[in-house]
Amino acid sequence: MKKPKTVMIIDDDERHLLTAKGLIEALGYIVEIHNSPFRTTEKVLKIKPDMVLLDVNMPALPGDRLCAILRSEPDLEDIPIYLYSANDEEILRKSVKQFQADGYICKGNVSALRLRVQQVLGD
Amino acid sequence: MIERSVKDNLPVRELITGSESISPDTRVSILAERFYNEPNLDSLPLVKNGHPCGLASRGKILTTLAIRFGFALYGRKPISVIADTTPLVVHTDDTLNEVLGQAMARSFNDIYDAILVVDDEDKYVGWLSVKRLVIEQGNFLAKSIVQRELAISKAVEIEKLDKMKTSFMAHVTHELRSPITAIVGFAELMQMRFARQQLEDFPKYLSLLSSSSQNLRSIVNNILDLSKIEAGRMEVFNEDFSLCELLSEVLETCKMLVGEKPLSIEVDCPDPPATLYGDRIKIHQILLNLASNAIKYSDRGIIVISAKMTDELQLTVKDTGIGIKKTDLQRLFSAFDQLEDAKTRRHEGTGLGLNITKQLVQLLGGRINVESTFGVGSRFDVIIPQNIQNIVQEAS
Repeated sequence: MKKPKTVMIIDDDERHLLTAKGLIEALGYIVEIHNSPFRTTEKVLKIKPDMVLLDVNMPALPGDRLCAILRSEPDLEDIPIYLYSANDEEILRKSVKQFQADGYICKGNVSALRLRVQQVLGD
Repeated sequence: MIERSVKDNLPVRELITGSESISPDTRVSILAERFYNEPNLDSLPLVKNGHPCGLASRGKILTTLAIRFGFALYGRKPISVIADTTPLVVHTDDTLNEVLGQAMARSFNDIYDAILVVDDEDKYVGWLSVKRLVIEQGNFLAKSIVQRELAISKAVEIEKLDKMKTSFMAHVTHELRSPITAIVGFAELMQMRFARQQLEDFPKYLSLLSSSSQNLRSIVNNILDLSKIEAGRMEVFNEDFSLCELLSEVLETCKMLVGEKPLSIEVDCPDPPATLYGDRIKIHQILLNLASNAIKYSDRGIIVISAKMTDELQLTVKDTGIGIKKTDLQRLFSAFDQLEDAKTRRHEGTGLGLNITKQLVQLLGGRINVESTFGVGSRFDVIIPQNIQNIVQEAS
C-alpha cells in the first residue's frame, strides 16, 4: 500500500491547527502541525511534507516572509507552499507573488481547503 | 459680501470709499477752504452732468497754492485749471486686481491718487482709495496663504486617516474572520465525527467553539459600539446600583479571561459599600475593557481594580504587564491603531477597546489618564464626576 501524503500546517492559533488538521486528515492524508514560525525550516526539512500550509499573521515572523525563507532552502524549492490566512484575498494575492508561494487558501472556506489540498496532492 | 475676503477678483464697486464730488466750475479758493477745514478729505472728484472730468487731490492742490503767488494766481479761477484732468477712471465691474494693476502702472507721483468709478453709461459712481485697495489685496493674500496651509494640513490629515482606516479594515477583517474560521471549522469537524460516532474530542471542540463565538461576539460588539458612538447614538441611562456588586461582576469575568496565566486579580471596594446613581452598563464596560486589556498584556503578576468615592467616582486598573512606551502613549486612545504591527503581533484584538473606553468616559462627563513604564506595568485612572449625575437625578 502506498504511503499517504503529508500536509504540514504552521499556525500560532491552536483552533485553526485543530480544525484544519481534522478536516485534512478526514481526506486520508497525514497532517503534521507546528505552532510557531520559529524552527519551522528545521521541522519542514525533517518531515519533508508534500504540501505546506502557512498562516500569515504570526508573532515576530509573518508567514509570507517565512515562505520566502523556506523557498531559499535548496531542498524546499519545489515544495507546494500555500498561505492559509484570514486576511483579505487582495493582500494574500500580493503576498503570494512577493514571497514565492504557490497560492493561498482563505481560512473559513472549508470546501476550498479540501479542494485545494486534493488538487495539489491528488487522491 | 460673504465671499469678499476670499476673492481677489472682487469687482471694485464693492470697495468704493466715497461718492462725494465737486463741480469743475467751483472756485479754487472754495476748494482750498474745504481741504483746510476737512483734514480727512483726501480728494474730491470733479463731476459735470454726472460725468467725471477730473480729480482734485489734497496734496497736489495745496502744494500748488503754497508756492509763491499760487493763491493769488489761481484763487479765483475754477478748479479745472489746476486739478488733474486725466484721472484714472475704471468701470464698476473691473476687479480689484485689474484696477490695482492700472493704479500701480501710473507715474510715481500719481500712484496713490484716488481712482474714479463709472457705470455702464460712464456716469460717476464713487471713488476708490488706492491705500484701501492695497490693504484689501494684502488681506486677501494673507488669508489665501492661511487657507492654503489649512487646506494642505487637512489633506495630510485626511490621507493619514485614510491610511489608518485601510489598515484598520485589514485588521478588523482578519479579527472577524479568525473566530468565524474556527467556528465553521469546529462545526464541520463535529458534524463529520458525529456521523462516525467519534465523540471523544467533543468536549474540547465544544469549549473552543464556545470561546470562539464569544470572541466573535465581543469583536462585533466593539465595532457596533464604535459606530454607535461615532454616529452620536450612544445614550446615557442612569440608575441606582451597588458599586461593589459591579466590581465583583467584573472580577468574575476577569477570572475567566485569566485562564491558565499565573496572574492574580484583586478588587478594592470602598467601605462602606456605596450606592451610585449613574450609567451602570457603561461603567461596567469601561472597567471591563480596562481590566481585560490589563489581563491581555500581562503574563504574570497582579492586577488591581479599585474604586474610590469622593465627590467624584475614581476607578483605577493597575497591572504588572508589558507597559507602554512613552512614544506610544499619545496614540494609545486612537481608534484603528493597535500599537503592534498586525502581521507580527502577539496580541489579538481590533485595537478599538481603548478608544471606545475613552469615548464612553467622555460621554459620562469624565476623563481618563494613563501612566505607564515600559516593561513594568500600566495604571489607568478614570474619573467620573458624581455631581453631574446628581444633577441628572434631580432633573429626572
